[in-house]
Amino acid sequence: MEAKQPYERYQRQMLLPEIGEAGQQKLLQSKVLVVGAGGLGCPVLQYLAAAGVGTIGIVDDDVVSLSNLHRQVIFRMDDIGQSKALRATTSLQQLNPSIQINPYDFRLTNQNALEIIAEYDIVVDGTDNFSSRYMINDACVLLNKPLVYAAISTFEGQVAIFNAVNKANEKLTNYRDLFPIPPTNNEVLNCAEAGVLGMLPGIIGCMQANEAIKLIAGIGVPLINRLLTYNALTNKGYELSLTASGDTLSLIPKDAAAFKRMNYDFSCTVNNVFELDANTFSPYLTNANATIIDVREEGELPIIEGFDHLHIPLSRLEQNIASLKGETIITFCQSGKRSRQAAQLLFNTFATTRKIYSLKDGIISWMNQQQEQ
Amino acid sequence: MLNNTTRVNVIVFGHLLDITKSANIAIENVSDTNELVQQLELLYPFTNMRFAIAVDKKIVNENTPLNDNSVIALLPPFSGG
Repeated sequence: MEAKQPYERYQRQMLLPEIGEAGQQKLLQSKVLVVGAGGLGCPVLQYLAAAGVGTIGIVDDDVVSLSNLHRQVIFRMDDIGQSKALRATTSLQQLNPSIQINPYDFRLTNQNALEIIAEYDIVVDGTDNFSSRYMINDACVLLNKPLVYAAISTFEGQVAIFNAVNKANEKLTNYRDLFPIPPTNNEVLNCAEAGVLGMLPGIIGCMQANEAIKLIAGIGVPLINRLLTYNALTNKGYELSLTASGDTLSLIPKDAAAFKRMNYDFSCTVNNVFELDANTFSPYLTNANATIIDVREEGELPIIEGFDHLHIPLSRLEQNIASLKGETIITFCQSGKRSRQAAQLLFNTFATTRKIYSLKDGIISWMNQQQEQ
Repeated sequence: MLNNTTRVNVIVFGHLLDITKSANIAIENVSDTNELVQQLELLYPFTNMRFAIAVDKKIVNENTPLNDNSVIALLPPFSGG
């Protein structure tokens, strides 16, 4: 059926004179790599696949969890525990079997990024951490690939296209023209820890997909050298223009070899913080010399019962450090990220006078393991 | 700048708003972005915060002179996806 009428699927978008048959052909011949099949990646993938982008790559090393489903709307209950890249691939193939979907169910790193990105025309960044964002940015600069960037924080989103030529033929800009150097660990919460309504990545992800389509079809005024911020609470947008800064290129590795040597693991280079896995953590629960601290914010669930611990949210930890007792201090949170920041804060105060640990992968992971045993 | 009644409007984005509590701040008697940031740091605990600065909707990477009624946006990096 589809082979006889290949364009029926795309009829309504081809009715637009800006798309037409020529535009549809461009879409079908285009190759887009979507990094991160999360809150942003899901709408991007669905709309690009629906629009007939001919080849779509999906990079994600994560598995679907129940707490993803309120915003990662491509996934279903049956997908929980399974690879996001593989489940998204199946779902998109059902949506549009006539396009090619390439899943990469591993993490994009500076060791594999250049080879993968080289296969595509455009990269869409839907990742949730600064390490990946800077790494992807630098890879796109090195390979000269347009990067459709977006990021969210609670009720706000940012969208921009980097490393693409605009009609005015201005110098190319990249993410480092906006934020030259990555923030340190305790500067910004990430989405896994800060709250988010599912609609925000939905809106911002659709904006990314729209910008990608505009770039491919060569229509409209894409957000090249412009950053759009959107606030879902006020429904207001604010647009800023970007110019290439002379210093930026010096921050980007010169070639592939330098790129592979560069350390992008910002979130994990917290020095001096030792992580305990669930098995090593358990014996400390009955150790009178160990102080265990829940650093999640007030009201976060589940409430932890069954062992003695303090509850001091990360935001208030610094002012409470002096009161902490115990020769061993162990921090925990939901996923193990904030507890690592907390452990770093404690280490900055106590150095080696106390043993400071963070519970690796968070309390949920520990609870799951307890249930299994 | 000799005019000592320079008044600029600062718009705050992202988690900077958690600190300032107000999305719009008026600041007086600042002649450039460096002075503005110094003023803001006196008013708010911005230590350890990183943000891009836009003057009249243009991202600036260097100290930039401000005019009366300039609009300055402070934009922290977002990582969420």
